[in-house]
Amino acid sequence: MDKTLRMTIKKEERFKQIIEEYERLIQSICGHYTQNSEDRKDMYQEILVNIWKSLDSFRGDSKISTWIYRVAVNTALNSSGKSYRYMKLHINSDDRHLNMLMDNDDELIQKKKEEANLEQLQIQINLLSVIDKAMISLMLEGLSTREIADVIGLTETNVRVKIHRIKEQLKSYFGQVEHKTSVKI
Amino acid sequence: MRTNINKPIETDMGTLIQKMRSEDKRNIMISRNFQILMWIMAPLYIILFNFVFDDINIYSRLAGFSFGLAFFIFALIFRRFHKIYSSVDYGLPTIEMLSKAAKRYKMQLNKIVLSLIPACLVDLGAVFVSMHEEEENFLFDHLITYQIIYFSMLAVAISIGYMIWRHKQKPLRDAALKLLKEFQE
Repeated sequence: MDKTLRMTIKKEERFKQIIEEYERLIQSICGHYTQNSEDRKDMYQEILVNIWKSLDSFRGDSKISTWIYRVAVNTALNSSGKSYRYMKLHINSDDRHLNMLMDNDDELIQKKKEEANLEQLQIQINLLSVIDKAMISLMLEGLSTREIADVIGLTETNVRVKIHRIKEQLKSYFGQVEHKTSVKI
Repeated sequence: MRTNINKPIETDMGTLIQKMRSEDKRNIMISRNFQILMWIMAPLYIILFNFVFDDINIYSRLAGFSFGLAFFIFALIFRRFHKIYSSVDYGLPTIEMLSKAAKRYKMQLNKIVLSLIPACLVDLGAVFVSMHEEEENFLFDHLITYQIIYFSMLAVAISIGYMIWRHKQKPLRDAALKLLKEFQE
């Protein structure tokens, strides 16, 4: 069999294996970056195409899941083209790691699960920079700071500082809302 | 807030893979065919102007070498730039990918100068051809007129190239630089 053909078949098998194993992960990322089902499908396909294109360059120097996250985040950042600043992040109450955005404050966690507060949380998140939004999307996927650092290409300390700043910003906003509510009462 | 649509995205994997394989094959063929053409044209022009055409003299030989060298350099430039622009690795850490994107879309003077070399060699070859044809009646005025026309057309081509860069690639570079700056803050 022709060498090129053998390599193509091998690549195809590897690609199918990756997609089978990480399909949910990719779809979850798409869910954070797009709300519309058609846009989700387009982004999903774009990520698959970029996985295919980049597969030859993958040397196994990182975990495959880290590599998939990189492709997904980079695709999401690129898919808005020059309009990175218009990238919107979408969250919902089903996000398993939503509590990672706020430090364990039961009262606030309880509040934010209410429809109105969650909507406010989304608005506040989308006021953050594109980078912060990309990091939040990875936090919502349950990645550790180490893993987020591997995906983004920052040091772990840098990621920790940025996450702390994001949390403080969100906490400060919800702290103010709570204060205003209690003062009003 | 249920903003996320959790329905799995359905994709026809078979069709997608087939499409990606066809595109890969097409890109490789275009690049390979173009390079083969250049590598054939380079020695062909040298042979034609040195051994085949009637009335071979010093000017025809110089014309042949100029054209041949122009095609040779053009083939090298094409191979180098094709490699840079066609292989975007989405699996790199985000910061690294953005740095490479910013570099790739930078208007670099050395790239422009490099591309002008074969253009000037083609001009030189054409001058030698006209000197060969008009030998005894060669008029300096014809040379000046030809140069004005040729370099005016080259200037128009460079202007068009600059406008394309400004509208398509500069925004991508600016966006990548902005994101990189945000990462560093």
